[in-house]
Amino acid sequence: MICAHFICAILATTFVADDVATPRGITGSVTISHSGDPLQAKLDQGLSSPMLVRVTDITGGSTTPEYRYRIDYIGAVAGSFNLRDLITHRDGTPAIELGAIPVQIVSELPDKFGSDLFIVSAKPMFARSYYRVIIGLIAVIWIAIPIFVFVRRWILNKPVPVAPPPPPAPTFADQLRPLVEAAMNQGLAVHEQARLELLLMAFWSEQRNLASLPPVQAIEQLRIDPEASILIIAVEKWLHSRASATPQPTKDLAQLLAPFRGYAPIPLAEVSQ
Amino acid sequence: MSTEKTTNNNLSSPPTQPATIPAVGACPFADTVRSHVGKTVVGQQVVVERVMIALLTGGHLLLEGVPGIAKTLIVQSVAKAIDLKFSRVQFTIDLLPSDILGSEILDQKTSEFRIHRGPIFTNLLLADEINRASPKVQSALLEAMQERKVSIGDTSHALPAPFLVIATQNPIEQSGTFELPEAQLDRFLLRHRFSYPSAEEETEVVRRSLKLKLKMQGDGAVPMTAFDAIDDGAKLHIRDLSQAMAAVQNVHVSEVFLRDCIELVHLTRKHPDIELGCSPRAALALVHASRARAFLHGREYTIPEDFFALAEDVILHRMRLSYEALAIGRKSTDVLTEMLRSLS
Repeated sequence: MICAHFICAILATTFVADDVATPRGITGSVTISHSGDPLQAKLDQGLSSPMLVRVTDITGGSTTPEYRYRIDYIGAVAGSFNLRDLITHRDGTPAIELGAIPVQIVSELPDKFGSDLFIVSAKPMFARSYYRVIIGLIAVIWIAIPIFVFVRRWILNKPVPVAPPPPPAPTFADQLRPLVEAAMNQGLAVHEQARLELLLMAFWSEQRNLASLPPVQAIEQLRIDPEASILIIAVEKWLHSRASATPQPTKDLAQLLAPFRGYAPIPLAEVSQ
Repeated sequence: MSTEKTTNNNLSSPPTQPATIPAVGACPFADTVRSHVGKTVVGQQVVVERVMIALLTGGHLLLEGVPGIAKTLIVQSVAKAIDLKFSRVQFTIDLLPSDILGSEILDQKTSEFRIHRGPIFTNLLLADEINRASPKVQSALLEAMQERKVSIGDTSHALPAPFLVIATQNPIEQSGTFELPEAQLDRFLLRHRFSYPSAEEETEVVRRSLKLKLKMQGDGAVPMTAFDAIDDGAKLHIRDLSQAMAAVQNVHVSEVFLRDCIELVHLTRKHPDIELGCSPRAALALVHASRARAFLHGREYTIPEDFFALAEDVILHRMRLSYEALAIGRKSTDVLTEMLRSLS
């Protein structure tokens, strides 16, 4: 019964194609006559389907049981297609009773460009394909940038081990200190004591521009000079007074040497000569 | 012998001497003498100090300087201040040793020789222009200065204590003079070169002279001189001087100071410009004079300032420059200053 019905349907279906070869992307149209169950286009055609089919017009049926179906199609891919595969009954069953409805989709582009509308040389949308990866990357970058900035700032601002301040340049006071200490403690030989005393006088005479004066006048001025007299008079007491036999306290050594701090040392030969 | 004042010409360029005036109150003895002398003498503090040093050390003093700068006045004022006997001898070419030392004189009443003591029997003898006397007289004086006694006839007579000779000589006008040989110069503890007073001091000298009045002698009158203005009221006595001399003996001299003195004296013997260096007497004089100066400045110990202050007065007359040095115009003071600077 079914087989007979099928055969009748095939016989009852006639196929009229407007144009056998339809360019890709261009709507083509075929008209078929069918007297069986009403037909419709397959419902689940996707946008990426190589062929889209729509039943755009149904006429007839008023005087005869035969209906004329106008079927529009758009081919996305060049090639031969059977529209019957995209036609179903209203209840969704395949319209297998229909005869083949062949259409030819041709590409008007040269062969080297291919024929699939959906196959493009450009890669598909990246964001759509790797959304999570991108989000992950953004998150990583979001975290990494502050970390990078923080680390970089920490490295740059890393407290450089502070080098110990260089020892202050030695002064004449430093040079004199051991000699004066020794003089205080009676640790100098007589000739060294004499040298120390005369050295102090010569030094201050030069500093005070007294070298051109007779030595006695220079010494008189040095003995009343507020800076020069401090150590000169102290050394006089240590070296010349009777009290020099007893050790002198060293607590005032810094005060005695204070006036010499601003002066550079002189060659040692001059001291020890 | 004469008491006339000399009238030699002035020095062309007398050496300058620093005015080292110690703080008042540092040494009562020195302050008293200075204030007494200061009543009649303006300035010349250094000369007064040198006279006191000579007194305190028992040395003798040779003053070099132009006439009219109060040499005699200073010496006489110092003598009056300490109540010392004072004599003045004007040395001339015809002076004899006996004019100074004294002689034995036959006393016609007793027909015996008696001793006539010369002006040297005093505490303070001013030998004015000592270089004008003959070497024989100079030697007699210098021998007495050294030995502090004189022989008259067969008898030796000790000179009074204290005994101090202050000789003067004119550094110019050498014609008709007998220059003291180095050996005799060496017997002077100090040779001090006078300097002119400063303008302020000279103004004060003139101002004081204007205040001097007439000195009446019977109906006549003579203008008073500065000598008449000397205060006769002695503030000190010989025992005060003796005590001061004893105090000077207690002034401490350190090894360092001794070393400086000896080194300077030795330098005079090595210096290429010096033909004749100083004798050991120079070191002795330097140390003793420094000790006296320290006392006058109120110190119990000598310091290099004493040494430098007295070096010129002690050293210069004890050394002689070589002919080559003199030929190139070197001066003793320059050589000494050079040596002092080399020390320091």
